[in-house]
Amino acid sequence: MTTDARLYDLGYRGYDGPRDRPARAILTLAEFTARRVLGLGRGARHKVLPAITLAIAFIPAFFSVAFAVLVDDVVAQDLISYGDYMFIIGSALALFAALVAPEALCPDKRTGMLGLYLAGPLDRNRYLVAKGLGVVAVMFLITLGPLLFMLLAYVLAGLGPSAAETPKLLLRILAAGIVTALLYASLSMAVSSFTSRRAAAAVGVVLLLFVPVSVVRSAIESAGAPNELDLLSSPFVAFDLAYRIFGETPEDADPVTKLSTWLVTGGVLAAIVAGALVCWYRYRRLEAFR
Amino acid sequence: MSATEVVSARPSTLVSLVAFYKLLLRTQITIPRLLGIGGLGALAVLIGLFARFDENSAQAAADAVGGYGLGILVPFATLWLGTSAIGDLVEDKLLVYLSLKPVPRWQLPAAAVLATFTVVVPLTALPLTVAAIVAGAGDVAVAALLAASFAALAYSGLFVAAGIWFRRAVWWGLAFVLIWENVVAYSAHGAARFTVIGWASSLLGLAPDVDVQLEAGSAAAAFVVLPAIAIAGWLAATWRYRRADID
Amino acid sequence: MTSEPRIVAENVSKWFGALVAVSDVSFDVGPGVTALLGPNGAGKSTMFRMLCGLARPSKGAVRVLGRDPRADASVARSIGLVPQQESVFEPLTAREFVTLSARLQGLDDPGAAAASALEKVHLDPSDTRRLPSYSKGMRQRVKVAQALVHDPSVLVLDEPLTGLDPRQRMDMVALFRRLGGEGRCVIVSSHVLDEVERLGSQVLVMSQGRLAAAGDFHELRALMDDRPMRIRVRTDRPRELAGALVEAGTAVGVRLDGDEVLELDTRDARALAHALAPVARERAARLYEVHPLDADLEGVFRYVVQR
Repeated sequence: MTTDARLYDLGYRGYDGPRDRPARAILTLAEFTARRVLGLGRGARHKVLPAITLAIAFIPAFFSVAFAVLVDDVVAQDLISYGDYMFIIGSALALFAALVAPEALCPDKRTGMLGLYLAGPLDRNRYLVAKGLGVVAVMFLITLGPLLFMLLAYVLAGLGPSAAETPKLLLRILAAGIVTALLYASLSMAVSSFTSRRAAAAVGVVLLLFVPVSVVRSAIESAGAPNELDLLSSPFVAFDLAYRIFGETPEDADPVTKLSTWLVTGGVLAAIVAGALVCWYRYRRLEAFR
Repeated sequence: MSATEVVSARPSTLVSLVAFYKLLLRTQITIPRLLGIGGLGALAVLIGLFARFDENSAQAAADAVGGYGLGILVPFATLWLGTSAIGDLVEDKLLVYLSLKPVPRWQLPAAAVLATFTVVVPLTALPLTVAAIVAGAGDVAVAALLAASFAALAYSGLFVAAGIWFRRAVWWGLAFVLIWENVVAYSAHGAARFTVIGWASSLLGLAPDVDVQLEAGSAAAAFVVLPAIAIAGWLAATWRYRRADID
Repeated sequence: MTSEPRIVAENVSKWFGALVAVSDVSFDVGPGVTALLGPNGAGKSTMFRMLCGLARPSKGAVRVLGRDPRADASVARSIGLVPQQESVFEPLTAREFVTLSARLQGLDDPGAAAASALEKVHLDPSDTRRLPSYSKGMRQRVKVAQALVHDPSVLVLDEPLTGLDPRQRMDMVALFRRLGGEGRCVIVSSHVLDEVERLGSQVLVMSQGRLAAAGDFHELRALMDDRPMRIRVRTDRPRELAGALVEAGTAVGVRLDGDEVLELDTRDARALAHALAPVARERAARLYEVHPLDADLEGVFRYVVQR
């Protein structure tokens, strides 16, 4: 029997067109993560905490630049040095890390979004790479932002390095900023991988950054433990590496200052790798369902 | 009971306070928290053991109590428990079951402060006391117990209030501890008197023959100021709770 | 609505910043069961919170048993609330949770009251399992038990049938009817309209924060005069019947569905009902079924919220 009747399929349609590579998905998630952590595209109250932390981190730079601009006869030694800066904003760095990584990782586990992400082209490794990129990118705001601001301001005020020295200083700023950002991102993501509650992760991040310092330095200073043990004081090892990158010497002679540059560099890199491995291992075992 | 009258019976203050207190103790004491804070307390004892080998073990013990104990252990432990006492009830939308009761609103925050204090002190002040004893500094032990206990009381009031006032109370608490208590306190002469750690250090200074880095004022004043901070925190929490819309 | 209002709302509004959740709502509710209906986001839960004193109205006033539930904490002794949220106190058993509620209500023997309340909702008071291990339906029943434990005269039930299986829903509906029949003021919100219908006929309908309808839903249906009532008739002579009814003026619209089914639109259901049997006899038509299609609560609800 012939008929003019037609039955039209209005339901699901497959897609046969071109698809982007998984790298695109990684970059998309990284960008989304960075925006979420900074509260971009969300209400004003989501921007308050990142804004306050960034402000705290930039305050020494603003004051230093203002001092340089407003006071006559200022010499470079009167200003905050690049090496000092990471140490000075250490608490702000810890606060920022306690905000960024938990915000990036914990809600996905709590809400079940992780399962949705993993149901697509993102496998666990790609998911972690995307999240890591997002977290590190945001950490750059605090590890590079103030230093680059100071460099630019000092140059404009005539207190900066010469034209020949500027590229070298810029490279040092990038090196110190990148290493510090990687370290804080790695450790904070490792802690955040253990829990789905942002609050617990935030406390855990700060404790991981500060508790080993107290224990290790007590062991070294009171019980005569070897100075190499201070490599476990991750933030201070990173600060010391920053000093060495800028060719400066810190005022306080912490145990880590007595170690060789290779050892200090190795300690920082080992901490970065350890944090990344812990995070990777936790997510490898995680059951992503709701 | 008449179906048209409001029944005026209400529980006695002690009955409802104890009921809230027991509930909050049970909600706050979880295995992860016990293990986490207990672990931090164990590290305090380890630091005390290291201090034993120092030339001036009493000073080393006092530095450990002042630095690790009052700077990290006590505030972070109280932060974790205090903000979650009522904060978790708000986040999980359980506060409704405790609010729609013929009970004055001041009681729940009071019970939260007491419950937080009850859990924090054995997990922090006792290990710090043991740390000083292990370091061979018995005089420091008594001062450590007082300093840590009174600091825990003050922090309990502040962080319970933070749990009701702020959505991201833990982060605000972290900012308070890291920036205010550990940076601002040391930044200028006299700044310590506006911090809990400053007044707690004043109690630590009761230990003979040791120097403490911070002293906000006399130990006698510290015995008044620290409980006053706790009471101020409780009042702030009550004020907010009375006015809040409960989900 | 009744001669003895227990709950009175006068020009109540509630906004959260720029969002108006409840807008100028006034009603009074007396003894018996009243359903508060509305689509998601209509403002029902916000209204319930204001009735219990858990949220302050931005404008207007709420009175429960003649008092302000927000200002007078003693009113809580007379209110039992089943909130919508599913979360429970994780460390507690059912008995501990209900006993806590009884204790905070000032009951002399909280343990016995808790056991009785749990039995009323068919839960075992001696169960030592903690609440997180309970199924959704069991948790819901525990919530009802804690609302009933202090024998309140006003019950506010926000989606109390959620998560219950059909048998449990029947039991719960029977319980609420009994409580309403005892003279308590029971106000219920639910999406399960056919079960709400079994609770009683008094309704309040909210839509987009406003009160769209109030009263007996049968009477509301009769007020819906811009929308004819639809009646389904199954007969062996649908065309003849349809023609006769239209000619008589008792039907304003007709739809034939197959060989036996007729859907009639009428503005006067009573007149149609009177005319149907004589007309069928005249036309020698057998009537197998006569069934109003939108006289139920769902019909009223759809009409009211879509206006």
